[in-house]
Amino acid sequence: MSAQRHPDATALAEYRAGLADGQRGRRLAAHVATCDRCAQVGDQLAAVSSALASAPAPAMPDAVERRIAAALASEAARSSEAALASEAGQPGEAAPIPSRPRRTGPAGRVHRLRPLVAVSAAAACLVLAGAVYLVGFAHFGTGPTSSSAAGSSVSSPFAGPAHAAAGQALPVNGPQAAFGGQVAFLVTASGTRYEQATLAEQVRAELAAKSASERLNPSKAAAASSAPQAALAACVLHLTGNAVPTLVDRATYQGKPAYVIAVPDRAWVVGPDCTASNPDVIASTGL
Amino acid sequence: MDAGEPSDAELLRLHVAGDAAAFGLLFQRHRDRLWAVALRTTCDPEEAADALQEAMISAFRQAKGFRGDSAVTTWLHRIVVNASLDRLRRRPARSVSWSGDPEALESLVAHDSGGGPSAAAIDTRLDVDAALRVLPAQQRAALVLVDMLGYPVAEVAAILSVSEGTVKSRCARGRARLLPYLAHLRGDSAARGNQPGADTVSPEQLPSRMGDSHPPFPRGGGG
Repeated sequence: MSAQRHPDATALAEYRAGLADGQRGRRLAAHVATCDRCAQVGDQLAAVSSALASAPAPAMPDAVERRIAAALASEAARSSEAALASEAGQPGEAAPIPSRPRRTGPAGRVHRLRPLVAVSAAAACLVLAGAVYLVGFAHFGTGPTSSSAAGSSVSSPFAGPAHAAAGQALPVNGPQAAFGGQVAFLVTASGTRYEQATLAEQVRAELAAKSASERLNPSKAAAASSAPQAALAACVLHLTGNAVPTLVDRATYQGKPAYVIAVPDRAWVVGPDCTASNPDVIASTGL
Repeated sequence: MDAGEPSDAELLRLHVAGDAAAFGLLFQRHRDRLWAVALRTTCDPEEAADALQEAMISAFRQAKGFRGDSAVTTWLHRIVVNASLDRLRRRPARSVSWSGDPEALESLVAHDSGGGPSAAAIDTRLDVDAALRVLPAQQRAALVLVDMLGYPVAEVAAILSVSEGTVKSRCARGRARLLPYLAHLRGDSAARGNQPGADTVSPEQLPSRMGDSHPPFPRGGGG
C-alpha cells in the first residue's frame, strides 16, 4: 500500500463530493480507508468548507442600500408613469392586444395571454387608485370634498388620481388645482434642514410633530399647509404608488431646497422640480 | 416571516401589477444575502455595489417574464450572480489579482452591523476574503453559494444554470485550490453569521445546509 501513489487534493475533493464513481471511485475509497495521509487531506478539505461557512457575513453598507433603494424608487416612478400613460391617456400606445385570431397551440396561447393579463392588472390598479384616493379624503377631511363628490368618484374611478399621477388631463392653474380642486394631501413647510446622516430620524420627528399639531390644533395645522402643485402631486403619487403620503414637506436637504415625502415605511427626498416624468429622487431611506 | 406579510411571489405579482413599493420590499427582504453574493463573487465592494444595483434594476424590469418555475429568491440570486460575473468579465484584471493591500480588505470589514463578530471571526473573514481571490470566478461563485451561504447543490445549480454535477465539480476544485490557504483554519461554529436575513425567508425558500457536509469543528478547537 505504501508504494501506491496518493491521489491529489482535487481527486480527493471530487471523491468527497460524490463525483468519483465506478472503478475510480472504488479505488479512491479503498485508498482513503487505509491511508492516514489522505484521510488528513480529507479533514483539511472539510476545514476549508468549515472556514468558508464561518466567515462572518458582510452587512450591506448603508450607502449602498440608499443608492439601490433610490434607483429602484426612480425606476418605479418611470415604469408607473409609462403604464399609466399607456392605459389612461394614450390608447394608441397601450399594451398591444393581439388582433390575430387565437390558435389553440399552447405556446401561442401563452404569448397572447400576457398582454391581456397586463391590461386587466393595470385596470385593477386604476380602480384601486380611486379607492385609495377616497381613503385619503376621509383621512384628511380638509379638502372641499363631499359625499356626493366621493360618490361620483366611486362610480367613475378613472377620474381619480390615476390621471393626476400620469400628469395628464389635469389643469395646472394654481396651487388648488391639484385633483380638480380636491386635495388628497397637503404640503407642509417645516423648514427642517434634513441631512443625509439623520434623514430617517428627522422624518420620524417631523411626522410626530405633524401628528401632534394636527391633533392639538387642526385648523392651525391645516392653515400652515398648502395644496400641492399638480406636478408635485403627480410626482408624489408616483413615488408612493398612489398611496396617500404621511408627509410632504417643503424643506432643505444637504442645504438645498427639496421636498421630503414619506409613507409609513419609507421616505424620499426629491428635487424642487420633481414631476411624474422626472422624479429627481435625491435620496431614499427606510423608516 | 410574519404570517401577515406577503410572500416573495406575492410581492413580485404586486410589482408586476403596478405596486410601486412591492419590489423595494422584496429587495429589502433579501438584500443582505444578495449583497453577500455580489461582494463575495466580485471580491470588490465597489464592483459589488454596481453589480447589485444593475441586477436589481434588471430584475425590476424582467419581473413580468418571471414564470414561477423557480423560487423568487433563486431567480434574484441568478440575476445577481450573472451581473457580478459580467462585471468581472469586463474587468478581468481586478478579479484575479489581489495586491495584498490590507486596506482593500479593511473596507469589507468596516461596515459591520452592531455588535460585530469576534476578532477571531474577523481574522477568518480576512483569510477567507483573501483566499477567495485565488479562485477562478466560476468556482468562486459556486463555492460562495454552497459553502458560504449554505444553499443546496440543486438550488445552486438552478441559480447558476448548470448541472448539479458541474456545481459539485466547481466546488470540489475550489476547495482543493483553497487548501493551502484555509486548511489551517478551524471553523468557529459560534460565528456562523453568514446567513443574513434567514428569519425573513419563508421555509420553502430557505435552503438547508447541503448534505455532503462534514461534522462541525468543536468550538475553540482551532489553532
